Amino acid sequence: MNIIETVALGKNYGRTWALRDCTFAIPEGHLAALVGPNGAGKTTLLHLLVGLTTAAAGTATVLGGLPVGSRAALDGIAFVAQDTPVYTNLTAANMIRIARNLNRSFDLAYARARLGELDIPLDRKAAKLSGGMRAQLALTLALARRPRLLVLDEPLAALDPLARHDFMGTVLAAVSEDGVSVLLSSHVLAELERVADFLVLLTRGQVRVAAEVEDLVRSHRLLTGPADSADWIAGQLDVVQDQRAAAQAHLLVRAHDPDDPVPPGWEAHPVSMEELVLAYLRSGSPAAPAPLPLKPTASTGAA
Amino acid sequence: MTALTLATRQNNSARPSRPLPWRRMVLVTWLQHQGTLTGVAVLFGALAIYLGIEGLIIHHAWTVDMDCLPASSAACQAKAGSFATQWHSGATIASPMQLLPALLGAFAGAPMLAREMETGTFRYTWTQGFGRSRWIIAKLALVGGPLAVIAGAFGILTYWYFGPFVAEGQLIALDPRTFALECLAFPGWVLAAFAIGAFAGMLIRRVVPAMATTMAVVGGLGLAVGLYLRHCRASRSMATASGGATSQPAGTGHSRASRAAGCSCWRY
Amino acid sequence: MFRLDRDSGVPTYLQLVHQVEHALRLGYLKVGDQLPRVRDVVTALTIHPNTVLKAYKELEAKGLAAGRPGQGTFITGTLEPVTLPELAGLRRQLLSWLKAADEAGLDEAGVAALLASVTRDYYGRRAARPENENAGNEGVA
Repeated sequence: MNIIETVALGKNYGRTWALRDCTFAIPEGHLAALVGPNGAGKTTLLHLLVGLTTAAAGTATVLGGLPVGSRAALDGIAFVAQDTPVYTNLTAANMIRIARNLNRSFDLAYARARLGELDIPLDRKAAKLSGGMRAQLALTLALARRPRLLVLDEPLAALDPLARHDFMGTVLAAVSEDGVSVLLSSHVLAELERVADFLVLLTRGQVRVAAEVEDLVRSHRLLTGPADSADWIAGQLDVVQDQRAAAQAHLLVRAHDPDDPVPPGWEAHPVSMEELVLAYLRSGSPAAPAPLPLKPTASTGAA
Repeated sequence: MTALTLATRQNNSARPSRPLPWRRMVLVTWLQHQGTLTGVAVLFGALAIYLGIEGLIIHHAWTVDMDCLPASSAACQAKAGSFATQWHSGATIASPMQLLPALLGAFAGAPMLAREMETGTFRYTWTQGFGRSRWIIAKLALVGGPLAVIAGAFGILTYWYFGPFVAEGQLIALDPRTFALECLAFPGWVLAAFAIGAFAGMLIRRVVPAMATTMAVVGGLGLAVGLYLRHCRASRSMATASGGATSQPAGTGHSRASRAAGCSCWRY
Repeated sequence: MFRLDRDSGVPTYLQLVHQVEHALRLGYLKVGDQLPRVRDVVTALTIHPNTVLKAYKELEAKGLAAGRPGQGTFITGTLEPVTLPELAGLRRQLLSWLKAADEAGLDEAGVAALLASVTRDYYGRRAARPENENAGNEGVA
């Protein structure tokens, strides 16, 4: 079951198209990272998926086919916007009361226990909490709704390293204990590398890559070899990035079969997710290759 | 054998769910708009106390006047004259109160939606289970409702307050200075200003510009209605003069206009 | 309990496996001890739960640990230490290989690079293989 599915999704503001022809699907049970440079359209995409804006073109469904923004979708999705907007005049206790009343299900015991664990005072106004505490408060309120999908828009941007660690720790604990699916956006890749198992890469409003990280890493490799045979090799293979230095060439290629033989005289190295993403970001050509199709893998076979 | 993937939370109920009950918004609205609601209550409370006390004094002086017989004697006319000079025409309090609908529209109505849009908190509330449109409707109703009730009660109070002045002829029926403050006209204006404020807030999305716009729009409407009434009065008095009717003595003839303001006219 | 070396190039799950094996060799872990809960590892290291599950599954495949539903993962086996004669034999083989590499012109850094690359390949393939075998044995998922 796909937790998010879009077909030819597009959104414009006046004459600028923030998103164009986005087609991808994320299966449930993943922690998906939405990565792209600033201005790529990540926030627009997230706002479309949680029902804050409406699409100008195409369709999107969530939680296995529910229309975006419908009542059932709102029930099952918790969203934390960029800069975690909170009611600065309200205390955490009041925020909890509001959250309880605005939602069908709310785990009050969890919320209170969690805030206690984090040493967030219930009776202090939100304006007086530190950035890290505010982010944790917003995350607690979101997770207490027991959502099936948690959507986070650049949650780590304004946090110091310790706060980031704690925040991601909370998200990961929720993934491991409750099976929440997560979609989080960031323009900093390094922190997502160990954490995400699904990657959606967005540049200039278009989806370049949408696949499981394991599949991506397995299906890409870096070929290093003599520059004079590089052009011929490049013609044979699906090249994502071509770097030349004097007599040596580095080709980042997409191999559809990981057991493809390495061309003689060339070396093959595995590629890390960060190298892969950078390569796709650098090669931002208008005619982008189609996103890798989702293949059923052994790891999704849990019945 | 441990599974390599984690179990995902399943949707327990496949039934289409009913919307959440409206009453949930009562606490939410109170928590979010405590300031506005308390401010309105305090403002009207203070004005009510002031008008109440002064109104009692005025009414006392007026009944003393009325009990003075015969009405056309010099002594009684002198008393009526002193009443007029002592209390002016009540317009001193009426003029600043003209601003009430505009102020309420700006301070109560404009921030309703504009503050959410400006601080970005709408991105939180509109993604909760309650739903965007129902949340907006509930908020506006739960603040606008009490506001209308308080304004309605206040309108009756002002009608009572200005009664003696109308009877003494210092204020006429449909006087632009007091018409908007009495009976149904006042809550009508207040609600309209509130709605204009909320609407401006939704369009402009910034609190201070929305407040300014609201005051301008409501103020402008108020002026327009005032001018229209003056025009009505001018044309009616011309008709009266040309019709040759006797000039109306003080204390009578306001019943029809007063009924137009929506109050019963038991006094007249 | 676990540490993560981000720059080593060794996959995270393998690092966890190695740390458990190391602890077993040194006696910090004994049969019957419980391995840290997935949730705790994940919160401490900020890694995806599947990585921990993969490490624990690898330990299971090696016969070192087993999961008890609802309770956690427990150590069930020990590591056979490599016997002294075996160790001496391996040492000798390594020395003769180094001599050959030296004669071929490979310097120390070159040896280290080659060793790292081959090690990565070998253990990487070995990790992938048991998974495929198991998938075949389980039949349709």
